[in-house]
Amino acid sequence: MLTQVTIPTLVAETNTAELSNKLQQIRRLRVDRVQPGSRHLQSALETAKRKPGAPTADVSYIFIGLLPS
Amino acid sequence: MYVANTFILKATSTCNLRCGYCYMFEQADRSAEYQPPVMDSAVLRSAACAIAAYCAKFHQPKALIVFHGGEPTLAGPAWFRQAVQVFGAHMPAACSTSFAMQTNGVLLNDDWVNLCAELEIGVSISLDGPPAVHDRQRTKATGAGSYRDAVAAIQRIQRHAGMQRLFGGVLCVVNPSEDGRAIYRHFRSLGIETMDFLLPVEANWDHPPSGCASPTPFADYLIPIFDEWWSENNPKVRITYFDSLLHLLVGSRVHSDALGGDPLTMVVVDCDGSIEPVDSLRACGNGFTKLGLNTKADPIERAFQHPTFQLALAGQEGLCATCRRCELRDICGGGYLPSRFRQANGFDNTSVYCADLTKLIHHVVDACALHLTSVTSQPCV
Repeated sequence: MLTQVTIPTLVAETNTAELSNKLQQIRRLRVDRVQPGSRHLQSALETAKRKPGAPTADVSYIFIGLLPS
Repeated sequence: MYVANTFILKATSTCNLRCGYCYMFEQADRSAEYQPPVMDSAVLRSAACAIAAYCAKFHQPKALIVFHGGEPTLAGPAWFRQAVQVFGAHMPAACSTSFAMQTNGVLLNDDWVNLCAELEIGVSISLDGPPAVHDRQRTKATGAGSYRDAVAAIQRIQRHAGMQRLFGGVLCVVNPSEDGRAIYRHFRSLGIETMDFLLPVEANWDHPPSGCASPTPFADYLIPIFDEWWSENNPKVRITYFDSLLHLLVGSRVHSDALGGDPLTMVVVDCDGSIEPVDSLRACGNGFTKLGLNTKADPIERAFQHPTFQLALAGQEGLCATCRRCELRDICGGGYLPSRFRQANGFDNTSVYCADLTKLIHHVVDACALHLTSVTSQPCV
């Protein structure tokens, strides 16, 4: 049987301010002129810069091959 | 205004496998039993006309038609030729239309691969891992496993020059009792570069995942895969779920039924022409996706007014109070809609995978944040 863990417990264990700070820093990468070493992150950033505010792909991801290039 | 651009066509309501987790045949919904086994020509034509009319009316620049089932190849090659021809004849010229298929690969011989290449139908194949893992769930009626057939189909596609660009990769249903990293390595050993991992859609608060010792078994399966993929650092290797997470983390939107919480942009047309919302909702109850609408009589957009379809359109506005307060709501978006279901209060719940999603997203955030430390210490380029 699955051990029950309540989400508030998990959240309480997390420093939410620290998480919030990290999330903000990651989002700021879009406007920073940095080139992260992770090519996966680079790829996501390039898409975000090319299509700001727009969905990364024109159609749903239900068909898995349709990833933004 | 709501935009639909992905149309899932149930080419068949029958299958040559008996996968234990299938929401079409093995869970709460029994509606496939009352469907014709194959979408007939009249329904196919009505579906194409309705989709084309919708795309023309709302000036859709792109549309994706996904052939789905059951097992779509059971409809036969002639059905696919006709389907592509009918859509080609009806879709507006201004709407760029592409085709895809999700298949178990069992029937996908060289003739099928040639046909898909000729008709430019992208192909994704369901594969759960090495033989012992895949064959535990994905069995034929005889009880025999289907791993050998699925891998043979993948290899046919990989050998076909014209098909390579249309290969959508493999779709793997997460089984938390297995070793995620070993499964990822197996896929890589097969030369597979595009893959996705799907949390079982049949789990909800009435039927939570069972048999796992860990409180976060799905995160524990996915995190080692993420770590391996992240350290491999090969942009040719795409894992849709993780790519989506990264896109969402850097502030993009994704049209996904798994993450992000954007309104779903997909419409399902069943074998009899029924217009339905995302079909994983079938896991929530018998006949759950039935709206009483049909492409023979109703325009596609009429479905959007239906309360069940509205669930899929609500996106983040449909999240429960706990989710709306959560720091991660823009990223997980509440996860799969069916995973939030409870008979007593519908979808006004967190995901049954909330603990797993929280742990996984924190892990991905930490991986990116560690990276931030290293990039901020370097001069900008």
